[in-house]
Amino acid sequence: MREEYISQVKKELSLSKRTKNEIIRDLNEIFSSAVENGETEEQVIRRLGTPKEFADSTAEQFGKDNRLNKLKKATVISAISAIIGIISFVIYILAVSGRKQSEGVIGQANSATDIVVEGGFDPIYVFMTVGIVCVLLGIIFANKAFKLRKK
Amino acid sequence: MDNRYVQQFKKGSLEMILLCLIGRRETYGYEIITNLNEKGSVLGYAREGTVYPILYRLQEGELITCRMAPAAANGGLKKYYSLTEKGREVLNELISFWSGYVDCVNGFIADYQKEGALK
Repeated sequence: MREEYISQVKKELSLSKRTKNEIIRDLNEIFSSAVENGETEEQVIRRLGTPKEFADSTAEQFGKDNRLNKLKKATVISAISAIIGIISFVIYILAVSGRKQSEGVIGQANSATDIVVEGGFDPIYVFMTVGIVCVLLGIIFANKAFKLRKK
Repeated sequence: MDNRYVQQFKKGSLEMILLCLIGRRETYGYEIITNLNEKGSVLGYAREGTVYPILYRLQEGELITCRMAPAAANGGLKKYYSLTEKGREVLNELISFWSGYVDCVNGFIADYQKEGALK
């Protein structure tokens, strides 16, 4: 219960690592002191509020808007993922079409199928996989950023 | 008596109360909470969720400082808070402001009770 609460706060806080560690240390003291005095962890959690409430009101005191920080983070991650994804796809497409010419695959043959049948593992699939993963990540984080902005 | 108007009052004065508590002598989190609950029944139940964020702000503003030390009762390390010089100055300013503030508000209340409440 205590561990779960603390790890939730950790997840919700967007502050420097040092400040974050300090806050986690304090939370541990809060729990220990209360338990030493015969209180239950539930009682402590009731006084702390939800992990999100605690994280937000704490971040606010450091002059940081927790939500804004998270929004920035999500936006940056989604943009970077999208760029990496697109680059990977471009490399993949270039590699596939380059190979098509050099190997002289004929006519309307589906090049992707050809390669699998002929070669087993092919490094260009790494680019395809990275491309797909990054685009998915991009979408997930863009969605997160959009939700945060709407709130 | 726990509506949001009352909440506002409490929020504003809690910083000063914390400075007073910490200014008496070095103290740690749980002791602060216990003290608040013993003395400040008007304030309602003190919660770590409200007190700690304010402690962080006071620390950021360099009004209080802290050090780690083993607690008297048992071995565990606790964070002990004390006032800085700046904190003491600010607290003194706040205290003199507070007296003037109370007089002023009381003046309005007295006028109201003399004239308005009769209607």
